[in-house]
Amino acid sequence: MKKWDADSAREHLLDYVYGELEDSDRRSYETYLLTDAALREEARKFRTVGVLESGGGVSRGAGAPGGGGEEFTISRATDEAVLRAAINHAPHPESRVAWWRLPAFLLRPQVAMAFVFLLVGAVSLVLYKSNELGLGRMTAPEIGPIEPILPEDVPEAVRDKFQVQRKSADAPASANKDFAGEKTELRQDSIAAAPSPPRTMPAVPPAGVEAAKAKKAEPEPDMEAADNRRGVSPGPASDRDDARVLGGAAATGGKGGGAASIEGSGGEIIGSDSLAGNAVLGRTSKITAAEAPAAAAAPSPAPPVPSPAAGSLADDKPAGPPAFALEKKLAERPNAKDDVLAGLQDSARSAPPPADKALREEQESSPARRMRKEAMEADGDETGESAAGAGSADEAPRPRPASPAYFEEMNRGRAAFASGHYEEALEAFLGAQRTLPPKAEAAQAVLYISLTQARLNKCNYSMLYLMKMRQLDPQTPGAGLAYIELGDCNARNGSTAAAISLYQDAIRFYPAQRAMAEQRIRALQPAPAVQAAPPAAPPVAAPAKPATAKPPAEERPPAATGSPGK
Amino acid sequence: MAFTGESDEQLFERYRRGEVKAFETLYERHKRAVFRFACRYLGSEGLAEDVMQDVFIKIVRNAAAWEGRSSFTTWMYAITRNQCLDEQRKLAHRRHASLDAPADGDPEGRTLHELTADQQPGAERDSSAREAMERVRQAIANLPEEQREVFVLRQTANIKFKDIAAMLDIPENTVKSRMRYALESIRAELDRHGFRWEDFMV
Repeated sequence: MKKWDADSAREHLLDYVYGELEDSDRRSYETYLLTDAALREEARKFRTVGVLESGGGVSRGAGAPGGGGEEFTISRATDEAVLRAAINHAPHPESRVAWWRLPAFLLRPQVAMAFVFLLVGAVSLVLYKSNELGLGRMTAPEIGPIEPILPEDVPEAVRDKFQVQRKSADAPASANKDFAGEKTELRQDSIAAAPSPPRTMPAVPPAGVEAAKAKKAEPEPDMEAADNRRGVSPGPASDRDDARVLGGAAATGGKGGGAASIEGSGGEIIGSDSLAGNAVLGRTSKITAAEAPAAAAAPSPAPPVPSPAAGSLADDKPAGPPAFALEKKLAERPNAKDDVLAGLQDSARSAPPPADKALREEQESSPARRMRKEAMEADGDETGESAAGAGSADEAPRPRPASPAYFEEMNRGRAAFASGHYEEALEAFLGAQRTLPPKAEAAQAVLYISLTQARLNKCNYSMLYLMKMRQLDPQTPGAGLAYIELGDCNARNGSTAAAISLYQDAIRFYPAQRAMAEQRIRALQPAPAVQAAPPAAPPVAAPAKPATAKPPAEERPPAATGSPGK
Repeated sequence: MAFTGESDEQLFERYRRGEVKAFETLYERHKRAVFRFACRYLGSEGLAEDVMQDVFIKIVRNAAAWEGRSSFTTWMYAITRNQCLDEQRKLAHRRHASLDAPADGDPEGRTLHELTADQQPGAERDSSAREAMERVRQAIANLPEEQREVFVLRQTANIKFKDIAAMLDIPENTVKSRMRYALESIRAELDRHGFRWEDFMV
């Protein structure tokens, strides 16, 4: 029970008068009031004032207006006004629950239109992204026939030999379901018995690397200028080498010279190119047109074997309409090749196609091209074609330079590619492609994507990107290696005929890769019996190439593996 | 009448859900108290009725704004007080004499209404009590505004000191001191007129 003194009791007098004390406190307070007469008197007067104010002490009807004891009246008009307002402003029950109004809100025309616009925008964005990846555009009807691009200085005999070889290779392939993507046990067995091919990008031929290094040591105005225009900073030499790896490899194309040396003698093709680690490295064999079909059917002594990793990755082959369309396209390709080769033979005998001719004339007439040609003829530099390629690309006006993000992603991708982290490399190259680089740079990115997809044994996707690369820039440095790589991918997956076809395409479109491609063809088609020796194949290299340009194939050091740039 | 057993808050919640009958109950429960509060605050029955009407119309218009943080009564009297303050400002600009305001020159402070209306025979009325109540009313009207405000809120509206403090945003002890000053002023006014406390002691 609370103890009260004079001060606290006076302080709580109003609480007591107005009943705000708790019961126990009120009882103790009343006990205290018995001892404090003055405070008790004051409390009584305060209570009396309250009673008087409320009219409690007045008889009914007396007192001031509004007094508690007065029966005052409020006019009926006031009551009606208040109740009418209450009715008019009465909240609707559903108005307080927002989600009850949600359907009605969504059915409002403005909201519906906004929703439709958002939906259309989202779909457009998705379609745009798909096209950016090239998946939306790469449909079979749009790919069209592959136009062969051969240097005009390829001898007539070589063209005839190519035609004979293609016909001999295509003949069994066209009749074989394997070419349509349906694997046969025989092919799978033959592939499985073969040694595993390296899961590495065929490196730059040694001579090409050496030449490139030699060029790097010297001032290289064209390449420097090209790099500058591409946005490559003149950083360490190694980086620039990396960036030019494919270019260096492709430099063996065009003129038919270069690192992939073909030293033919009596039909022998000594393959000693940059296929380091390949079981067929340095192997000498003879290929004739007649033995090709038999070779295709015979067990291969040393064909490539898919590695365990490759086998696991092969299960990741994409499915779906694009892949199906591509397989269909591949199945149809033999006939298309015949047509193309026939046209190529005719055109080679008469004149190049108007478009190609115009292009070549334009390239020949360009000052940079002429300058490089002269320089190449002067010193026999086999990387001149690479520089020519860069020069021809430079001649085209670049609408805008590639963003730094593009080169950053490309360098990251190349590093990952070189270290064998193909998933990471693929991600980086796709990222580089998403930076919307100029056409020439985009072709590089697409080419690397194709290479990486091939390393991942995703042949269909690799083919898609290869086709896209050809659409963007058929002369992209390293395009021939992409064909080889894609052929290897098909070989690992058991599509031997498709692989051979791709190797032959590499020979046809990029003669510089001839030796490399033929090695692989030999590996897939070992000749059990030589029926006839093929005519002596003249070297694809430029006839005027000096003998000191490169050492003999056997003397070259093995090429680095793992990266196209290493 | 329906809803008689329900609290003010429950009735008002019903009205917020659309039951107008609940508000009718609420109105009947509080309209006299609000009217009396306004009478005490403004000293005018006519103004008090207008204020009462405006207060309840404001309540129905702002029903959605009530968050239930205070009791309905406190919220209602806060609206009433604000409305009374508005009326007081209007009165300050009024030029003509009000029938409910104390008439000038009347030594007893009677209003014009009381002076001009026919006086009903009040033999039966308790003249002493009437006089006492009139004195109290006059004393309330003469209180400083801040004391009268607290007195009306506590005595007429029966709002606890703590809630008054929250409503006026002043400390509770300040409310109590103002209330004490108001009571002592009224008591002194009654003493000054020879009021006989022993006749009305509770």
